[in-house]
Amino acid sequence: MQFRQFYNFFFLLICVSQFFSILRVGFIFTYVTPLAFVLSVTMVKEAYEDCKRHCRDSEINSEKYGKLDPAGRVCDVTSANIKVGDVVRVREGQRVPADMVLLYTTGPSGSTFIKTDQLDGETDWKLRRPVAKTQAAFEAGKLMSMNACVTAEPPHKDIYKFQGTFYHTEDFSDPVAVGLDLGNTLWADTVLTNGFAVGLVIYTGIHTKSKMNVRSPRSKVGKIDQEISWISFVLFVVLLGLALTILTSNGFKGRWPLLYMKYVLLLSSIIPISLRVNLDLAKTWYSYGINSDSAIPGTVARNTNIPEDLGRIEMLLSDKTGTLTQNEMEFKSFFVQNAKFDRRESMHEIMEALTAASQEDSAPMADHRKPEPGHAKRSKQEQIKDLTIAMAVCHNVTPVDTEGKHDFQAASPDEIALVKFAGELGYRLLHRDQLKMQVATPVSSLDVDEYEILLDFPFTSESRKMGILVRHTKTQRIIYFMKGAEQAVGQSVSPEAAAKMREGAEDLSLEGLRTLSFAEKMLEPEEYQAWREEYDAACAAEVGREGEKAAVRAKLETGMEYLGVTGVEDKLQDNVAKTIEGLKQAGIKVWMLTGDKIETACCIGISSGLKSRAEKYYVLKEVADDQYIVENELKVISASAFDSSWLDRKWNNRRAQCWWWTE
Amino acid sequence: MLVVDGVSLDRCLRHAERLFFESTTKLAGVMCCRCSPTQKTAITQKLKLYTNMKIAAVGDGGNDVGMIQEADIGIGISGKEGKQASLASDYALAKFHYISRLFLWHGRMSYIRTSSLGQFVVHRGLIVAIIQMLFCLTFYFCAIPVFNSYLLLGYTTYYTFLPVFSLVFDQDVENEESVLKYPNLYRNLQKGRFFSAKTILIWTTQSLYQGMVVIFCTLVFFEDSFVNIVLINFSALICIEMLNLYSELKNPTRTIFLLVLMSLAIYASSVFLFRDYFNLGTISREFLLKILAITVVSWLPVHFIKCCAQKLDPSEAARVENMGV
Repeated sequence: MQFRQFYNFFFLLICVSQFFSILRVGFIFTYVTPLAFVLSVTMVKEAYEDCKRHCRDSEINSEKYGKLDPAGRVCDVTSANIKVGDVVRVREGQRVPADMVLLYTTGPSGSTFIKTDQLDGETDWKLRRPVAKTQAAFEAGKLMSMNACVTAEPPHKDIYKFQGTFYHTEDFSDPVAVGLDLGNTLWADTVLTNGFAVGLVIYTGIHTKSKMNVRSPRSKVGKIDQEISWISFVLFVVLLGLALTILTSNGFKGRWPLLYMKYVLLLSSIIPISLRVNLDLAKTWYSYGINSDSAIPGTVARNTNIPEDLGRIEMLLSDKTGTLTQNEMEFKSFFVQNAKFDRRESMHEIMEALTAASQEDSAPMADHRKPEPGHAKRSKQEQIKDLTIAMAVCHNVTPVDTEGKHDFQAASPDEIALVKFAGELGYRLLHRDQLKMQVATPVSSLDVDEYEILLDFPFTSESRKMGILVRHTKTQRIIYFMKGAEQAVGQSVSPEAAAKMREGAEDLSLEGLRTLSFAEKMLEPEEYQAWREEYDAACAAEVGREGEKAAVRAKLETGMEYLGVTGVEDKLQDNVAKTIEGLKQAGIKVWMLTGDKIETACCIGISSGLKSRAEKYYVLKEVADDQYIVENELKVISASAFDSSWLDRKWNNRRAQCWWWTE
Repeated sequence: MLVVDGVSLDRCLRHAERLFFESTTKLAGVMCCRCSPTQKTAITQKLKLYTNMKIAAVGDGGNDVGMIQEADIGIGISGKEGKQASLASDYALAKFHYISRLFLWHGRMSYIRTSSLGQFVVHRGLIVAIIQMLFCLTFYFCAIPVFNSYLLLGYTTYYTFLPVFSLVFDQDVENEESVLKYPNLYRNLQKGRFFSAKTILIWTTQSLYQGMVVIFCTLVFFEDSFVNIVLINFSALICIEMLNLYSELKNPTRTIFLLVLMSLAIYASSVFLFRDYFNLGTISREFLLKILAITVVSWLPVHFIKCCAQKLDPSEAARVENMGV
């Protein structure tokens, strides 16, 4: 792009030179007009974009919110005028204007849901709770006359972390501190889903999470533009050379520097000033063609600068979930003990086991009060029942009724598939809020089990597991359910159970299924009390809160009982195999980068045609952290690319775990 | 096909980064499992660094944003995981399989058309500069322009802009069916066959030859009036460019034909408008014949060579088209 500026400057010089009669070689307008045209096209384009941006900004800046004044009255404030420390009211469906701490909400059970898709791209609704003290004060109409203050950590980028403290005092004695975390916040650019909420503004403008996460997009320049810039540069050199040739033939007579400049001016048509305009117009036309192609509806060319590069792609890096696959999960089968139960084939068997087990006691852990590692073997029926209940209870799914249709909201489609399958088996999730869950049982339509949610550890990609601590209301049993990747869950169960779990997970993965492992644990009330106190103390810790919490959580997650492994199928997108075959024929290498585990990825690799029949998998996993071994491995891989006979030889180096995989 | 997990990938990159990419890019494909968003971004960056390949990245979720922004072309699928990926992308698609049409048809056409247009525009400027230079050399090194300013201005704009720009609508294959059916056509593009040192050299030689013919013919036809020469020269130049365009077009359509006629009409009428300046009274049949002569001498051999080359070594696209017939 610098070349563009260079040429505009060059032409400006030429134009200016024409105002000196001594250098004039033609009419001024010949030189001025093209430059003026090129510049005005650019100006109009940029002015149009600036105008659009201005309109968009002013629309957002002038949006009205309610602000509570010290007397507790609500007055209007535009989002541009919101300052840190303001108490602002946000209505349902409104964009949150700044980062706030939630003080009051009208939502059911004193909590509210927000949509965060504009912030982190996740479409599930997130639960937010107001500070308990302020919620009560607002209801009593005393919010603005409270003696309280909030401290917040300095602004940072992480949208999933917040640490703050709410101090409150009744009579100017020592203030009481309450810890604030992510669950008490409303970040800017999220949207409130119901009622209205009142919040205290803590970060505004560039300090909001939303603004801190805006990365300035890297401007991409097409390869052909670079090549054309290069040619233009060569032409410039040629121009100087040609002028010199004429001058040399003439023999440097008279005032030759002046003459040289004149020659340069005369030959300046060699630099195609109209080229840029031509190419930019062409790009606009291509982009228009892409946007309006009826065979690929919904395609949007957001960057109009690089359509030519689409024509010389050599490698495609592809995500798996949601890109090659539909991200539409369907429950397929599960493993309990050593038996596999398929949704299609063994439905009858499952139902029978389930009915038999739940007739006696529909609650989990009916067969024994407390599991001990390596204790007497549980009956398969009981385990199937407990696994089904775990599927129905251990999740972050919220049932929603939209226009009379019963549906589920969740971060992960896997969870929805599990909840739906549990529903098919009779354990239907009816209601969920912050404090409790209601699950229908297969015993009778009137029998509803209620679970009090004591604590909920949501899924994170680091821990790769989630847990929920519930109390079954009828029997008062306190049970901790956990589900997640088999490596993560395997740490909490006995080694034998972990091996069994791994076996099951690998078996299901071979079918291309996404697996989740389940475990459960029952706690005695006293045990729970003791643990809970420890956890609450960790939550209020001033320093190292996260570490403390994790340590206490780990204490809970020991000696758990393995329940089973579930397998969910991720269906391929339409025409994936055909598309990939076409791309490969076109000489484009396709790489898949996924967060999924090796077995699942390999299956998708086969079904999507990423791996052709003639090819073999070379699996490199858990390679030793050593330079020599790594290099050796890579040399082997490199050799195998040429010598296909090599593939048939057995690779005996066990320092790295690797194997060949054929269909 | 290599399958590598996140931990091993990290170790490979730490111990033998260059070797990793050098050896893996020879393979048919690689699957990286248990990959974090940071690793995805790093792979994209490193691939660009070590292989100099044009890389596209496609994804649908927030974890793909880094990879999409880092790649030469970022493609977002507007899927269930929200709009973040499609907002960060250069091209947002509704379905994965649209990608083949986007690359094989739109990408291919854009690249071929821009190559053709870019080189033609460069040639158009080059030929004038060559004429100007030879003119200076021949006519006692006088620093005066050959062409009148209006003509020179019009040369790149109102006289030739539309027909030349119509290269953007040109198609070397009948329709998208054949490209999607024969993806091999795409391979030539990756090698840069349409815009390379070779093609540029061909265009330069052509400009040089045609510029020389124009100026030497002028010497042969030298008449008493300088203005007359300018007119002959320039008219011939416009005609040559139109015919060059015809040679360059792979599939001249009626619309393009009309555009050419329109441009010629604009030119003729503008000459008529300045009839006093050009001394139109002197125009005779001989005058038109001279223009024709210059045009034919400078264009026909070039066109003939191009046709022969095409016959002897037809392009892949032409072969596919013939197969279709």
